Amino acid sequence: MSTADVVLALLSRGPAHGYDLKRGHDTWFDQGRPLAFGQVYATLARLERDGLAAVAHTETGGGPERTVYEITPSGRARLAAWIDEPAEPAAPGADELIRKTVAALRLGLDPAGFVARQRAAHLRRMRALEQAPATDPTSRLVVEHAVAHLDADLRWLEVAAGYVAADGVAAPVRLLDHVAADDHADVDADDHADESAADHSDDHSDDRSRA
Amino acid sequence: MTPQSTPGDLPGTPPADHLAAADRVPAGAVLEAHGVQHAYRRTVALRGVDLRVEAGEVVAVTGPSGCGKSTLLHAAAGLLVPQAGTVTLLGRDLARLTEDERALLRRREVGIVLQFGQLVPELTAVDNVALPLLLDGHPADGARRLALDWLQRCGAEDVAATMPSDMSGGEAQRVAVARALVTGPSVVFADEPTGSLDTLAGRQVLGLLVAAVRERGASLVIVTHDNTVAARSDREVRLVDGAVAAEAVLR
Repeated sequence: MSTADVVLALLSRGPAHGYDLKRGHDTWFDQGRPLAFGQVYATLARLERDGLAAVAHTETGGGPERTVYEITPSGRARLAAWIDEPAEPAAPGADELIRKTVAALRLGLDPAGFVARQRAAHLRRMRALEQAPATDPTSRLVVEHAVAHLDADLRWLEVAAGYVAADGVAAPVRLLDHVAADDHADVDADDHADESAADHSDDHSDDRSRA
Repeated sequence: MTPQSTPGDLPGTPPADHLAAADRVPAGAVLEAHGVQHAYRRTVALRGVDLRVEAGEVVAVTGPSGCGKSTLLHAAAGLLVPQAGTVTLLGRDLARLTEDERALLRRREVGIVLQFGQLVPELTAVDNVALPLLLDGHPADGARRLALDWLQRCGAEDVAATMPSDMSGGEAQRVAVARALVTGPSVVFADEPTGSLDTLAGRQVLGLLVAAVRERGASLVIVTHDNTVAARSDREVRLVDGAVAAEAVLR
């Protein structure tokens, strides 16, 4: 997410000065880092230079002068193009979780314990996010995104744990292949389909025992 | 633990052994299961599981399919008597109770929410929710009033007069949650309560259940394969192949 695109999006709601834009940004993304004033003005200067925003007027009240900006037609076009273009799906890169998991499995350093500890850490983080007060719908959306990512990691860890349980030594290679071949969403879908099918048979056996 | 506080009360009809039962709960623990073993015809479901649940604790039982989590929940709730091991629920050794006594315990002091289809198809929502009270001999007027109150708290007052066949999955689960809570149970068991619902409906039902249980200071044992559900708990007990593989305190 580029700050310029977000500032442009905020400006598309109507003319605004730097402080409005900072406040707007921090409301939309209230779980994230607040936008620094310096960054707002630097961004506005760049947008103006590129013809995407322009000075509407200058407010002179009792205090210091405030420059009010507005979005230009080419700014609107740029905003529309930004929204039209899907975001790059985050590739499963060599992030810390993958590095640690692969190392723990490859080296056989208590891989089951590793998976259990990592699972607990992820669940605790997820719990903290779920308990964060939902101030407004958009900030709830940002939380949902983080929760969904943690969930994807947890499902992937489950796949990793499965490989450990199935066959210790051959597992690491297959896990790596899995990471390279599939993105998180694929892992989710497969995992889930297996699970619900088998769960139903589980339920039925319980029903029989009760009857 | 004060399950007598919120709308669980019906004026003039205190179940006689309600308080006595609460007194028998060992300090802190509402459930203690030791060495629980159970096998179906060819499959071993549980290989000696211990599970302790404290008063006011929300525990998630998770694990891959076929790990025995549903069987454990059924054994803990007294829906199934395991072939070996002991289950002490609210101070009572379940194996020593008759089937009728277990049914009474479940009806009066335990709430149960299962995955789907547990509403009585011939009854409206309000009658479904009032049912455990009516079976216990509470006057119909008070029972239905309390049932309506719980339907409202569960956001299901709009379907109060609706038959289960005309409800959405989410509505039916809200009604099921209301029915599980109407008697003011000190422990609630839920088996994949959101399993048949889409994400948003599932989260709403779950949020409702957890909030109601926490508000009452009751305990909740929830079986799930959904990580976001597990993340609402205070402690996760993970089963693999019929045995506890890991426990994690999340609180």
